[in-house]
Amino acid sequence: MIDLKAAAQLLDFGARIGKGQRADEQLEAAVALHNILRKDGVAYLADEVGMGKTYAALGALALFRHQDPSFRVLVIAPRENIQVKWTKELGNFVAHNVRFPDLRVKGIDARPLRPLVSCKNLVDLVHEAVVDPNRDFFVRLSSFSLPVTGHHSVDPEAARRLRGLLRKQLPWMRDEVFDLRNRQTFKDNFARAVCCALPDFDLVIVDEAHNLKHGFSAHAAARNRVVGLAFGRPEAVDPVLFPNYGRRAKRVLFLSATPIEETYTHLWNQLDIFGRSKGFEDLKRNDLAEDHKKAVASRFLIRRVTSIRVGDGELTKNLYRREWRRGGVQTHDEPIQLDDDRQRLIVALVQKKVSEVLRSDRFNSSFQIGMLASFESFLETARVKRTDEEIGNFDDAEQTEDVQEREGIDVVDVNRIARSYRTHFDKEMPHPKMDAVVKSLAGAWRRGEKALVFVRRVASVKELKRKLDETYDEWVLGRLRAELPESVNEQFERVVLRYTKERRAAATQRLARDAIPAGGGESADQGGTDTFFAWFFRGEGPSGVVSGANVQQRFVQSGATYSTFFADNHVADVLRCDPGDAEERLAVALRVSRSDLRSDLQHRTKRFLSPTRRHARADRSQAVQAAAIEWLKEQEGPYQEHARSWWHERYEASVRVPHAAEAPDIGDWLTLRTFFTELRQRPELRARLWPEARRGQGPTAADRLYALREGELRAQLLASAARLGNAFIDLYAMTIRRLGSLDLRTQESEEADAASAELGRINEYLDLLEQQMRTARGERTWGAFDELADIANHFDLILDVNAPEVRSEPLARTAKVFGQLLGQQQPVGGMSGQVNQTLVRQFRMPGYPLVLVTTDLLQEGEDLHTFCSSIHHYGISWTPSAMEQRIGRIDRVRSQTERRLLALDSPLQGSDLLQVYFPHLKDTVEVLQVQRVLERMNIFLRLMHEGLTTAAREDSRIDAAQEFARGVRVQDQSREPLKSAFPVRSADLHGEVKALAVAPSYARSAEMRFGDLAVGKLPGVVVRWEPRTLPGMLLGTAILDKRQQPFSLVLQSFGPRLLVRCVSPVGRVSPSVAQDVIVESAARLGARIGAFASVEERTYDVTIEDDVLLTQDPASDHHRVGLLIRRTAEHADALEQELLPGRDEVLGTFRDDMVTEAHRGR
Amino acid sequence: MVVDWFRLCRAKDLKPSGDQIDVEFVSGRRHLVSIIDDGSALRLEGMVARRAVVAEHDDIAIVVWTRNRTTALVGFRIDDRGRLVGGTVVPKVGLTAKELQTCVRTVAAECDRFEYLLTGRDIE
Repeated sequence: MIDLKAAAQLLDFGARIGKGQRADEQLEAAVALHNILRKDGVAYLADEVGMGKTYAALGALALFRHQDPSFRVLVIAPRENIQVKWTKELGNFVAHNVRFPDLRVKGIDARPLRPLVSCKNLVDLVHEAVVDPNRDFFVRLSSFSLPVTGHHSVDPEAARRLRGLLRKQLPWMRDEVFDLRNRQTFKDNFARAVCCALPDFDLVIVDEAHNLKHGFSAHAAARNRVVGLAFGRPEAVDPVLFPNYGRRAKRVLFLSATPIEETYTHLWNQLDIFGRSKGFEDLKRNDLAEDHKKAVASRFLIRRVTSIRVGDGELTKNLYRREWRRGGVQTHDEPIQLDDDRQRLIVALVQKKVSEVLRSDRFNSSFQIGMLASFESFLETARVKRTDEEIGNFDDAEQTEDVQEREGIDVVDVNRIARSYRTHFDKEMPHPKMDAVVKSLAGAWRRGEKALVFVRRVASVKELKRKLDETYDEWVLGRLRAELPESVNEQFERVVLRYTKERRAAATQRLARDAIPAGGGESADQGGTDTFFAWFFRGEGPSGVVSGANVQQRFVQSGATYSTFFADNHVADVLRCDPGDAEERLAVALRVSRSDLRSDLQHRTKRFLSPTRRHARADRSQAVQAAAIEWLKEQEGPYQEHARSWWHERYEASVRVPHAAEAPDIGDWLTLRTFFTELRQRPELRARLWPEARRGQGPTAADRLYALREGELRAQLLASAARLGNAFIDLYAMTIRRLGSLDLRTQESEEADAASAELGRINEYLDLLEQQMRTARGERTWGAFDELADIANHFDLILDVNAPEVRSEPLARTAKVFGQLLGQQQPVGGMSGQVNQTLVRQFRMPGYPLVLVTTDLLQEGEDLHTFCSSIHHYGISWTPSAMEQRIGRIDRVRSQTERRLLALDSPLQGSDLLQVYFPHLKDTVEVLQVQRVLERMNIFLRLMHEGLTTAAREDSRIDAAQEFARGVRVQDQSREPLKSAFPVRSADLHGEVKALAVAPSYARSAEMRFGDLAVGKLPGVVVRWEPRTLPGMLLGTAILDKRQQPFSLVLQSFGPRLLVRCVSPVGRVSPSVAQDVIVESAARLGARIGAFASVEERTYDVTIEDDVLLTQDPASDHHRVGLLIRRTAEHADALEQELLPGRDEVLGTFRDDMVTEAHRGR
Repeated sequence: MVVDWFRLCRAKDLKPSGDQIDVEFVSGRRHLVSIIDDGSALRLEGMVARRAVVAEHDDIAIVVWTRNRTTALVGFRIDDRGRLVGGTVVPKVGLTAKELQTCVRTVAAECDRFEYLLTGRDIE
């Protein structure tokens, strides 16, 4: 048991969310979980949605691992997207919330010390566990659903394939294990076999554990049984068939905001799957009082309640949410108004038809909540075939077994009316609810505010998106007509006409794409006809005119006019001078004459230019900057350190092999002015768009390097945002105002005058941004400045949630990451079937998509809260827990709502709150289901905070006749402050461990000891060291007689000891092809070969790797590491000579991959 | 440099005999580790699988090399007699009993687990 005070020395939960109550509560939760797990082996964290359960769990893990470095962990996430989120959050947690590198949890480079491995299926888990069990494993719950379809027996082909894959890892597994005659036996035995291959895990974390609430019984999902058996749920098994079968999880931590729906049995079920239910049997007994069960649960379950302090008041979740329960979306607490008789008539007609359907004997006046098509659309519902072979027109098809209910019992009738309407009136039948919601959401284009919309009917995703796209087009065309010069009016209208035709043609041919490809990225962008934005500003754009896409490409094509627009003059930055003075100041700094400077620099630029005859504008600019920075870093003086940092971070990788034989004159590239050099001249605008890193004010070289990297990362993100999304519309309109035409020839003539026009363009754009900055938001539309300033203001948050890896990637690669992150933007995103990560990531940033329409696909785990404060339950789920999970996507720690409320300096308004809409039409059957769900949500809210359980099992059906008889009861939002029924117990916060295993100085002294290796001679080997750029890593070249061999040294830990790993790349030899030759050479040399299984593009795929422990006495370090380097380098060089005759590669060839590998290796 | 590894390996679960140490695990399984003195260092080596077993697996070399990229302290290779072996090199300078025992147990445990995964047996 660890004491709270000891834990506080290791963990700092306030690092990202700020110090205070929330951070303190997170620490308490981590400590309590750790202590409950240590004592009982099982714990349940059932905090409200969005409180940071993941972080509390990671805190508990860190406490365990700090005390026991070999602590082994596996995390089960519900789906792939949440699995990815876990690995990202672990990186963020270690970087920001673990106070110091203890070389147990946190490495010297601030990253997790243990390697992370994400497994895509169960066989992959087995494979990875076989390769190296001493890593942190992340698996998906969906992987435990074995794809061997078939009613009772298995699909033989699928089963044989699975068997074959598992046998690759466990070749000795007997045939009789895999009985193909019975599906359950096959799955059970497969799971037992998996268990035999898995190592013991000290902790298994089950995220969204409520998915297992139906337990291990025969009636529960087969997936649950596979989970239980794979982790060795105690049972009698044949030791001959399954040697080593047994419990694999020493401790289990369950996480869920909604651990049960109706009964404590759900809790017992979850524990039982992992064989952890012993001692908690009372939870499933019907004859015991609820209070007793609550007491039993409180032995292992914690549930905390969140609140936000606004002024003098504490607002619990129900108090900082504003729920629109009357159905309206324009004015709070008012229903949707039906404006004209036609709407009323249509609603009445559909209601009549729905009533007739319900009155039929088949349905007995009942329907499934959320599963009437007419609640969402009056358009024809085409049958949706789901990937898992289940037919259904709604999400969560498991809500009912009835095929007709799954399709929607009113679908046939609504389809008939919709067809008839279209035939008679030649247009689609309007749906007042859909129209009201679309009209309300369309305000987003002007306000730049995001909204999340959940639907039940799968086809509603497309329909809502299409309608919203149409309103977007109206808005964007109106805006362009107003902002483009009069001289282009005629040309522009022709362009619009062309778009309208192409869009109609694409729709007719059903070619209009619904969502962008999952991969995203700029290179794959095909534009499309979803919106005018996609058609005109993305991809190739329309031909023959200066389109948005055309202008956009000119910012990235290295030969184009605007290619240096978003570059920077790093030479001027290093010399701390105006770009105009850079050449003169450089000559002084290098102590050469201006003419010598120009000729020598011209000579030096050759190394950075390709051997082609003509060099593009951006390439020449970059080459001159690189050559000057390289020269500066060689020159001792006040600029050397700064230049060296730029060199390693940005330019070293741009050395060309082979390079140009001759270089052109350096021209004016040293005095280049760009967007960023000029932004430096406008302090107020710069502070809003490109603020300097706060940490950069620190005194150390590491602080300065951090500031340099952050400044460049911010610049890259800003440049990507300015040219890829809504912000680009301003830049485009400005460009056309300068050109005065959409004619391509005009643009070409401007290019001829590029140099003189460049500065004018830059300043005009900065003027525009400045003007927007000075104009109040209410007086103008949401513009480029707002998006860019929002990004700058929340830079850390954006990186944390979307791209934490860029913090350690080489800067030469990060611009591409940002380009991919922001590529292929669309104003409205639609998602069903498969998670589109590009859309999700973009929704977590300012800018497009402003509206995201989704089915229950995004119901669990995904963070969508960072820039969204508004959720629409357009389609409604029947369980309160599902509704709560949906709202939880935008109600989380560091949410936009939380930030707004915490910063509030005026009286609280309804519009400041998190907005939860339940759009529905009054006087329709839909009211019945909404009121039922709201009623259940009220009960759920109370019970989850007072005692968790409801008295009876609720039905997913609504009996319309009964409900009409009861009358419509308005369910008001609960306004009582919430309290927890399962708070952290004081006894769980204290323990005998009062001090940490290592002090903060431990890593510093280890790092110094490691750094000393590069000082002084190493016995037996001569090394040429590279200047150090990364903590915990050394790069060098071993000098071997007449040859050389590059290598890296990385400081790691092995249990409580320090270990130095040496990796020396051999080259690119395709190990699977050259397998026999390598085996023979390695056997002769006695070498330890490392090979890359993946085929990704890299400079080497075979290495020699070895390591050595450091002892207590640093005096032996040089000797031990010297032997290690010599052994590794000699083996690698010998192998290089055998496999790649005639080659003797230098460090520069492999450097980038070596650095990346050292990072990714952990 | 002379190191009395026999003395350094005195522990309940380690039974030195000749140039080998018999390592016994809590689970009841056991594994033999050979110690070879090459002057400046001790080479520890454990057998994972004999030539005949190795020959049954087409891509075992790739598996071993991929594994070597992630595992710490113990590396695996196919030796010149076609056997799959795992081992580590322990420098004599600064060597303590604790370090040597850690290395012996780690080599034994890693080789034993690899043997189990490959053969399901406990022979080596």
